[in-house]
Amino acid sequence: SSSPSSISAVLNTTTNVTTTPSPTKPTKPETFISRFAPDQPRKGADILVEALERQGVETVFAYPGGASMEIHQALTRSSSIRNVLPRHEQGGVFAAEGYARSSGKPGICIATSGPGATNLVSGLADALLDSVPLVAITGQVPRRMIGTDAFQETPIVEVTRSITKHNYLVMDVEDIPRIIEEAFFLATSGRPGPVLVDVPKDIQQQLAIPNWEQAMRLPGYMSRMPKPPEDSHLEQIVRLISESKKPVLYVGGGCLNSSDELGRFVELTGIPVASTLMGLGSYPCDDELSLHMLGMHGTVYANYAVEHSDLLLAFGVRFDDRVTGKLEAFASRAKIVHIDIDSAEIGKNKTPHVSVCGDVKLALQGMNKVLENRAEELKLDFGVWRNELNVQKQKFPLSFKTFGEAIPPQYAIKVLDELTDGKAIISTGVGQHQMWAAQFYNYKKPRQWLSSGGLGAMGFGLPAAIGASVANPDAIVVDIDGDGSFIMNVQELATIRVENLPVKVLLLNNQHLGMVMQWEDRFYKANRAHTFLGDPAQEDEIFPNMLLFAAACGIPAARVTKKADLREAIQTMLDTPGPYLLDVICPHQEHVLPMIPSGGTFNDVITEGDGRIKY
Amino acid sequence: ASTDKAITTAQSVAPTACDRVRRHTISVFVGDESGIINRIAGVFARRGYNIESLAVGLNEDKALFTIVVLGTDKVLQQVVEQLNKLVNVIKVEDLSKEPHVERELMLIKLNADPSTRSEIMWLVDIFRAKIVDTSEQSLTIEVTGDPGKMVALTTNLEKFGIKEIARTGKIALRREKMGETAPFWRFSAASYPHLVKESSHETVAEKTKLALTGNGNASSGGDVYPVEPYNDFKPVLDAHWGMVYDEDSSGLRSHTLSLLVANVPGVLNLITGAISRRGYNIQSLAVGPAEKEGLSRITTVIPGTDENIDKLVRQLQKLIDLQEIQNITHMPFAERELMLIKVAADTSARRDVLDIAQVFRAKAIDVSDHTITLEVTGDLRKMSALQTQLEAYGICEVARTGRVALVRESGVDSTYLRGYSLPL
Repeated sequence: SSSPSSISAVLNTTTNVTTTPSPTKPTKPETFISRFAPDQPRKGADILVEALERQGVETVFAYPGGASMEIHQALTRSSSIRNVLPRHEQGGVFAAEGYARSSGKPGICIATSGPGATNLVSGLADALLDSVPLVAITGQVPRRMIGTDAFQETPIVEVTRSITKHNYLVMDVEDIPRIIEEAFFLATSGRPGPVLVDVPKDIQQQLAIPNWEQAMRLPGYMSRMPKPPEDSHLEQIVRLISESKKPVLYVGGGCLNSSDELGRFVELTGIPVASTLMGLGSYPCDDELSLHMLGMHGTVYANYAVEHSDLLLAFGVRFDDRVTGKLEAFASRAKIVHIDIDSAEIGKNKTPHVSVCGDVKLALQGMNKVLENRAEELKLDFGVWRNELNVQKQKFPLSFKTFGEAIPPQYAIKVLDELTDGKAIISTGVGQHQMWAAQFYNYKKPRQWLSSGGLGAMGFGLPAAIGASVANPDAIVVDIDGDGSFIMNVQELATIRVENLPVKVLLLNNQHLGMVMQWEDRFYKANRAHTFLGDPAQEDEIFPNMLLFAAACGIPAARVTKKADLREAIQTMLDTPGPYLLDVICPHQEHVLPMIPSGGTFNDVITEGDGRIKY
Repeated sequence: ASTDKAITTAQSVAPTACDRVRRHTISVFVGDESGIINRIAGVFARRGYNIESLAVGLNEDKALFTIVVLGTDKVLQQVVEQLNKLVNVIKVEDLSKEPHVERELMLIKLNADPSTRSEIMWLVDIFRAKIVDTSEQSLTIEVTGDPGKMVALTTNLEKFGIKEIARTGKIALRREKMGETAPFWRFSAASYPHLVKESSHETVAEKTKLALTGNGNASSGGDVYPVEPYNDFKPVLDAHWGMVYDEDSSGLRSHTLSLLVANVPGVLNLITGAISRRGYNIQSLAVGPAEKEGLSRITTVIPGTDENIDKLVRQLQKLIDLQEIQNITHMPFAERELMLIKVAADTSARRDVLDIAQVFRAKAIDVSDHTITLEVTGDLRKMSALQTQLEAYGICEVARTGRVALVRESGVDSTYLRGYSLPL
């Protein structure tokens, strides 16, 4: 095979950065009025809180403790920042993620030292893998006690070094304004990610006069900020499109900020769109050109399209193993165009033929311009290819079976989609219900779908719904959860009640750890290895009684067990003002289909079967 | 480290030219941050890249890492990209793509009785090595050169019985081409305050003393933690790479630790993490293969009082992968460091630079029409003196290894003899 003609704008040479557009500083309110006189000494914690105010922060998710109480005291003195008090630091960091994912703005969580800080770890790892802008602030023991194994001391900067985009230990109160500005800039610029700032308690208490005029000190990072895409590369991509017969778009989380540009691009080219789990909503799922999700549990037609395509347009994606399966076989007939803002992702798993390291939004805008100018001569028409895919769509639609009165979990999501007109913000836990929520809900806009993709952290759904509801007070927010995931952060029901957030929980309760159970069914001869979550002594009773959790927090709740009653029950849930829990009892034999086993290829796709059959 | 042997990264089936596993020398130029060694080592530990050697030259506000990576071009590209993602990395360069000079420093201690001594001396001569210490039963040899020379010398010396080896890891500088201009990496005198004014180690001592002795009068009356006076406090983890040679009144001085560790993935990350987590600073670090297969020797310099360093040693001893740790500060030891320095010197200035080099017994290893590259070994004071002299001409690039040290079997340290009038 001939070596691919690889062009890439990735490799930074030693040239200086004058051509780089000066990275936009976080927008500060022009007329920020401080509560303090310019020369008035104040505590480090007050400087920290004012630094957050100056970044435009309105909500934080903070849980206090010995080493962070100064920050909380300062928060009570702030008139513009609201604290939503989670009931567990993990709930706090997931809520901050839900806030960030649903709004696009950075989420902020605050925890104390030691156990408070370590409880943030799952959320930070999740935010790094899913590129969510997050600023986590932790208290630390006083500087003098660092390294002495003091009460509630953990070296959180060391612990989180490899699961944050960057982290700081503040060792001088004078640095707080600069570090917070850098933290927000790092969290939101380039490929977004979590930044942790560890603030020792004595710094929080120290009196100082802040200097807000300090410049950021990120010379290396700034010099590597991606440049605007080069026109010649974009023109080459358009040329590849015009030469191709079977192009397909493979879009991911990188496209969440450019759905308008993506929509226009599809309109101009007529190329079908397959989305990753992270990219759901960046192109409307109910559109004719949408192939819905690809990958392990993606639709047959999306994977068919990738398998048979001759041009794969990979925009804002990272060729994750859940998407590609066996790498060598993935899109093996296609030329690959890869656009991503993170140069480390380009060529990491699959070598692209053409790559652009930069903002997908700018690249799409550039290509749209080229396409608009050359529409006459290009005359793109992929009708034959689209018909081929439509045949697949009809042959292998997403489907499920109904057994008697039992409620198929997929059906519950379908009804929710119908009753909310596909407009609700959906958060999920991790497992079977997550995949069904991805498959059967038709997302129309980006940031409607909040789910822990890369890390796959159970217990994500409920706190993420809190964050989403805080960021979007007028939206319908539904947490589609499983019984295993729900109980992992069930304490957040208290937060929902206290804050009176209109969060609806659609609980698909099958009494099992469903996804693991499915793999047991298929590959471990259905031997149940601790995947039954009910009470083994009383297998036919529903355990635990989720309604009582809701009752304990004063949240209205209902249980539904028959398919005939489901639609009305969901309607009641949506009509009830404030929070609501609907416990939907589902059969545990259902399997998520279609399915390509790990490391498999398109030919290994499984479309039939469930837990009622022996394998 | 020669140490991180983790999962080999993606080896595709048909090896073509670009799939060949090769040695790549990359240099990483980073800005100031405490724990930066740990951050860099973490990238290699987490991503499972094979590093063969690592040398760190630490300065007041920046550090230059020279890392030898084993892998295909694809692996190398990933290494560079991942390092580029670190916020404080200023520049990553693959030196192996261009002509470059590479050098490594090694101290070898070997058995030598009167019958073999002459043969050893003969070999030392051939390899242009130097003898830095001698005793009845042993000799300590210092040698610099490229890795090939190191292997050749050790093979030749093996039959005498090698007792200890300390290696710095390889450093490299690009060769300059004729008719071009060399980039200046802003190595001005200002970035070496401890070199400029000799007394500045006092301030370093001052800073560290406060941090480590913890003599603050912690008053009661705090809430969860005692409330402390603020004004006398200086950062614990502040990066300062200055030298503290002479013991000051509080007993603070630079301690040289020699560690023997198992060659397991991430061991460097483990050791540096344990040091920085406890609030200690690494002033120098050198990693290289030890005399025994599967072991690496790490030589590191950390400032602190005897008491403090004892505590640190006890913490390090808890690490499973640590085979042996020795604080050799209070024993006479031979200590060497290697520096490659590229000076801007056109033909008219070349003679002067070479004259200075001769005084310092530095060797010129590369010359172009606008630069000259020198290699010098010695202790830190010698380096700083040379650098101060060359400052006037303009220093383009400096690559330093960490210090390596071996205990003197002779039991004599000439610095202890200074100040005594010796009977003649």
